[in-house]
Amino acid sequence: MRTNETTKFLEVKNLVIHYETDNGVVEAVNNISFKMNRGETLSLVGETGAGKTTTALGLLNLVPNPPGRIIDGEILLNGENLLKMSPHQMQKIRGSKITMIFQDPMTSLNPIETVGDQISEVIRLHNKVSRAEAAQLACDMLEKVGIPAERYGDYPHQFSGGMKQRVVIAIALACDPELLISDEPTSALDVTIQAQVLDTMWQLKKELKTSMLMITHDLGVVAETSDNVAVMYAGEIVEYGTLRQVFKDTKHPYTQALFDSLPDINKNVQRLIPIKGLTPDPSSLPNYCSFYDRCKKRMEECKKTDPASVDVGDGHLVKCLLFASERSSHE
Amino acid sequence: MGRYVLKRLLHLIPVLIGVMLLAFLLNEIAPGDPAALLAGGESATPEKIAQIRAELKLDDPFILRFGDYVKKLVTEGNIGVSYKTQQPVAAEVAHRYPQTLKMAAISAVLASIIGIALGIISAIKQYSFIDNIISMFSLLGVCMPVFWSSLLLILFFSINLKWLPSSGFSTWRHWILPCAVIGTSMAASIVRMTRSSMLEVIRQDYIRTARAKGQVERVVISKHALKNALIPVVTNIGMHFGVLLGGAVIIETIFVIPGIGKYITDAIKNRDYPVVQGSVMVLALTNSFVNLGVDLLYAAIDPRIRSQYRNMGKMKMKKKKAALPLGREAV
Ligand SMILES: Nc1ncnc2c1ncn2[C@@H]1O[C@H](COP(=O)(O)OP(=O)(O)OP(=O)(O)O)[C@@H](O)[C@H]1O
Ligand SMILES: [Mg+2]
Repeated sequence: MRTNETTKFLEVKNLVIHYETDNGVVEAVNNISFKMNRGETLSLVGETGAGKTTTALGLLNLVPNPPGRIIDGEILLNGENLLKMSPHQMQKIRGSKITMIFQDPMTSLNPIETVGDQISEVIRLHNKVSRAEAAQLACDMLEKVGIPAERYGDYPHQFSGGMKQRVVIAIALACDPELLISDEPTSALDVTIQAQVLDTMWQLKKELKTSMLMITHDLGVVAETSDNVAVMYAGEIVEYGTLRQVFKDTKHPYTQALFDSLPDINKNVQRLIPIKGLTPDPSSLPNYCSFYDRCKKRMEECKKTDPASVDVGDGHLVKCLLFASERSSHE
Repeated sequence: MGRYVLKRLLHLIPVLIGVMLLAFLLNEIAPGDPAALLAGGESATPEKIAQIRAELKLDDPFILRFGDYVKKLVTEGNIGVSYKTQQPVAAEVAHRYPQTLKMAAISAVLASIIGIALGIISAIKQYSFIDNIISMFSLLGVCMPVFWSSLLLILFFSINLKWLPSSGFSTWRHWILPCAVIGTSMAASIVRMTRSSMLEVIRQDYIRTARAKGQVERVVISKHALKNALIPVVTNIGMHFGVLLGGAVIIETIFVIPGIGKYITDAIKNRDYPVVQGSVMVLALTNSFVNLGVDLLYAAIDPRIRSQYRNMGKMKMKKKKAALPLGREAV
């Protein structure tokens, strides 16, 4: 498969990330691979503990160490392997080329710095501007995310959760990044303001034509915004494809179970079907398919091997034995 | 803010009255008769004792003597006159207190600098060899009683090596050992405090945010982490300083330094109550000011505290306005 196509914008190959704790090795991310085109929005969905945040932190090489460690893999941004970069080179990428909006806005701002300074800090790090110019740009950024510029000198504790997240969004977008990672940016917020904050982020993303890796629980948001979808389970991508492929032509039993567990206004289903059982303990994953224990379509063979990802057509990848025979292995 | 400082200064009045009353009461119930000691101890005749008691007005009722004391304090600024020497306590304190303050200040400054520096190193190199060494010594420093470490140092540096004098206060060389003793025990506790506070802060989300901005590690530590980590450390140092002033007794006795600690212990032995009384008041006053200083420093670092102080002021204003019939327009 080594055609000399133009280099992909982002290419993650066989990424493996472990947390080496006193109670054993947590296999948080297991050999995942995916690609992104410039301008594309890729959604990463999955239950809690699936390894979504860890994957995102891996892209920034910010997995907390110790205990976390990137064991193996390549992360190619415009063909350059981020994992081979020096700390100094990586610092140039963080905050300017790849930025991230974190899960919990309550804790992701420094409590003793003004929000304005926290925005202008990133501007000054990546642009040759004076302090005053950076402050002006930071004010502009505040206005863009819907906060009056007068609040430049206020501290995080003077803001509501939604406004804090807007500040975090301003920090993430201040340097016009190529890739924006948003890690469930609204899951810690009130339902009423979730939509507003998402909308702000979305508008800016479109304006700046930023590519986005969106981590979310909310399949509704996925349906509205994504080009491609990757479904994660126990540190693996079990299904990957375009929004249409994954939503309309769902293949993996886990993805199917996810949809069945959600209310759908179009189908008049009387009862929602929760996924039985628990996600497997990532510190002792089975050596066969990790969804086996909860799978409704499991077969004898499933307990014998760990299936490979299979292309079931037009780049729609499924990691399940049910489809192993359909096409040749992806790898 | 000014309002807050004013309020705190006004709070000093009840505090000092309380201290005064307590010190007076303690002297009252303490065993022993100052008159008997002044008259010559065992050999004194009852007439002589009675005469001295009358001179010192010791037979007056408690409330009368206390009232007299307060009157003299308020009208003449007189904190007492020594039974033994008939000299004003204030003069003697003014003469002796600088020695104690000097010792405490030198030790505290050195201990803070060394303690904070080692604490940071220990935290950012957690579990490394150097961290283990620092942790071991700081534990030792915290556990060692000062009288013991004083004796050890005297034995080693004064008696065996003959490098430093073991007592007195005339040259800077005399200050080395006492300051080293106080300084190490204080530094040890600051190291431990800084280390744990730093470790706590480094795990915070906003440190990850700072890294995600592409900030260099040195600035992440010095600007974002350290400032936050110092908040509890500053409080700790302030508290220590108070303990240090009171606890100077032991060091001053061992190293024969004529400071306020020595003054108080001698006075207690002689039942020279006005001296105890006056010195304790001076110490209480210093402690109050140190505490105020710490609280202001605290506010200078932490904007959340700052706005709390400001709100205290505002609440008062609001109450006042609400008390007026047309006070509704208060914002
Ligand atoms: N610092 C850490 N130390 C040890 N284990 C960790 C650490 N951080 C995460 N893990 C473990 O790694 C696994 C993946 O965690 P991760 O935070 O990536 O999940 P997630 O998909 O983002 O979940 P959520 O939806 O709850 O945010 C989990 O089992 C988690 O317990
Ligand atoms: Mg997460």
